[in-house]
Amino acid sequence: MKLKELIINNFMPYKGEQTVVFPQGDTENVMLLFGDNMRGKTSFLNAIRWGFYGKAVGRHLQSIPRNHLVNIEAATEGDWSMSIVLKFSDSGKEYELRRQIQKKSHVSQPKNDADFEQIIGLRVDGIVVTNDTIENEINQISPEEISRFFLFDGELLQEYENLLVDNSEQGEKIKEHIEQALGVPALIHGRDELSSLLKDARRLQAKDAKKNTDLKSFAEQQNQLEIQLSSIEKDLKDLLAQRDATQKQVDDIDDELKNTEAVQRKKIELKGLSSERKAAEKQLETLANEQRQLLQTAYLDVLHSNMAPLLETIRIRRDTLQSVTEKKAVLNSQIGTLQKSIDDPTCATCKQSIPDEKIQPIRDQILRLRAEEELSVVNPEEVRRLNIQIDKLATIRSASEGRRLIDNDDKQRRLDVQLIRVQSKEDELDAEIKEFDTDQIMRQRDKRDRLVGQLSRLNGDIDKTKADRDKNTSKQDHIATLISKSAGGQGQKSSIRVNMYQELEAIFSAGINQLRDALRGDVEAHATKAFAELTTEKTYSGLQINQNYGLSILDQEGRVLKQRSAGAEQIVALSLIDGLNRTARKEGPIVMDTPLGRLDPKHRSNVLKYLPKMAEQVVLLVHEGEIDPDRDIENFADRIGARYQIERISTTESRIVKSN
Amino acid sequence: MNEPSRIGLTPNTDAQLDELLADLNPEPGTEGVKLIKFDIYRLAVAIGLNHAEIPQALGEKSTSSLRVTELDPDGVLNLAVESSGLLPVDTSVYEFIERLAERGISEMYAAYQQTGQLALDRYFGEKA
Repeated sequence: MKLKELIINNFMPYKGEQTVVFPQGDTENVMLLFGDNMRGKTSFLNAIRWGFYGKAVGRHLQSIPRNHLVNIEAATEGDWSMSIVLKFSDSGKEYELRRQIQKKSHVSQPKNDADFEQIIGLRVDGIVVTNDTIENEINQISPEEISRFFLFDGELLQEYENLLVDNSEQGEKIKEHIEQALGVPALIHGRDELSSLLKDARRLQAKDAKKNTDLKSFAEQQNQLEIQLSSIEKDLKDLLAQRDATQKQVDDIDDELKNTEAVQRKKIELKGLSSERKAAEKQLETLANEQRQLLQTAYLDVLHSNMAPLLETIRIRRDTLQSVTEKKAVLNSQIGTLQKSIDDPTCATCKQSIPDEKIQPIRDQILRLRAEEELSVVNPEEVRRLNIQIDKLATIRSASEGRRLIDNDDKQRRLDVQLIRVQSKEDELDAEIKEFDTDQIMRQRDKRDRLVGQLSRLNGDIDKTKADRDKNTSKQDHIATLISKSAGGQGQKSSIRVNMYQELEAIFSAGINQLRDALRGDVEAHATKAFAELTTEKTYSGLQINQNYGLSILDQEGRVLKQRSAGAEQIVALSLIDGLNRTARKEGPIVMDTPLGRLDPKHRSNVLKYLPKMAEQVVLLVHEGEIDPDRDIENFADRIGARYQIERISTTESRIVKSN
Repeated sequence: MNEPSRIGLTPNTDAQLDELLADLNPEPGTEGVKLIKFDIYRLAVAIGLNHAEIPQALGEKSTSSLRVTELDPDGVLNLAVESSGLLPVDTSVYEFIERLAERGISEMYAAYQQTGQLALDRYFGEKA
């Protein structure tokens, strides 16, 4: 199948009629549609999906209601109609598929899907196909079950990681989808139908056996087991319904919580700011106490600095007086020694008399010293008074209160600034989350935890009930075999039928396993081939598939790699998609929404080189952060057949325009 | 010269001192270090001495609410005033101290009113 043209009218953000022509070249087979987030890339993917299958999906693959599909601007203007026209070719035939919904005439404001009527039309080579065969015709060309692999949302690629987790609810769902796409249900339905026929056959056999005295007790047991089985199956059905309902509740809460992730983050940030504010307030309190403590004795520091010059002056005066006193004593000593030499003029060494001419200078010296000594007058009372004053003033001690108060004040100012910053940020965040009920968010988180616990218990109950059912059917099989082999039962029509269905059921069960193994082998081989081209680590020996279709990377020694980066996860998921797509169908386009989100430049380059080879027609819905129009395009410039851009008209309206 | 046993402030300045204390102290009922009148009074006297000027006599009658023996138990303020050389001949030490406090507290209050903070830089900064 090859897409030719898509005509969108009033679908989601695309108001009015907008046409996109897909590239038809064999080598120039890539179409690029650039668009920023929230502009309508996923809506474009949904337009194709809705055109083919009448279904647009949101998160958790939940259907988007019809009243949300009609462009809000058009609806406001009273135009509640929306349509998609898909033109494509397949096996040499030209198809034109038109799907349209419009508000029923008696409805004023549509609220649910029933408020719309759907009109669908298909022309093959210009000839109108009757309405009742259209869906069948479409499914022949492109079955809805495999649409997941050729119309896929890259942001959901990480869901495929769940396939590696045993018993993961989401993994089970994806496995179911994969098996549906690969055709396994055909055999499963066959086996289930045989089980149903076998049940009927056993009932008939038991009825026959009841007529036989030897087999009567077997017939009773069989009847009892059948009653039990009905009850077990009813329980199982109820449990599965409960599990689905609970899972839906979890999904809904996840959606709700996802939308409030930013609020939750802000709430946590707010908590951090509140702690920061409390710490700053506590510190300010400590500093204020310290300030008051310093202020109690700060007067001593002021007096100390005031009195310091006076104290110094007094000390100098006292020291001067003390040195004068000391000098007077020295002079007196000198005078005494000289006077002695005059009083006894004999040389102490040679014992000779000192002549008079030598005595006279000594006398002159004594006179000079006496004059000097008489000038050195010191009042001892003044020295004592000064000493007392010094001692008193010395009691005015400083503990540097002033400097410490200024330091303290400086710290308080800095903390005040910090506090204002924190408080402003708190007010800002408070205003941002004011309209959200944060308590409700927390309650929802608790509720989710409870529901997850409930799911786990339900899964346990389901496993147990399934085991009971298997045990019951196995007992019934055993009794049926006993009846068949007994003299009374042998050759009886009902016994022959039971044997036949038992054998057929066994064949189908084995067939399912064989088909699964074969398909898994094919998917693994295709995915490994794709992975070899996509990965930047060329020493990896390949991928290994598990029972759930989860893929593990094998290192050069063939060992499973335990840790994988986000980029590696995406490469593995892309390889799986490629493997599934190639296993499920021989040809067809592939439309990928945001497929390169988590890749580094080298992986991105590898993927871009590989994508044109993934299908005969590749439509990439990307933003410029994924594919740089200047740098990345060169990886596959020769393969680009068409380029479009989604332009924003308003928050609720976008337009697709062709670009160069 | 007879020294008074009690000194104080004019009623207006006394009210300013109360206001300063209320602002500087923690909220009533909360714990923490608390300042009392004596603390600010002493600081005001010390700051007043720094001006090296003779303050005017009190314009009004003093409240005389502070006992001198409590205000200056070690005689430090007395000593500082006596040593300052500012004390007029006909004025007692504690009357002079009262004048210093009156002026110091008025100034402190005025600065606090302007900035919401004590002018610590002015009292303790390098130029003080």
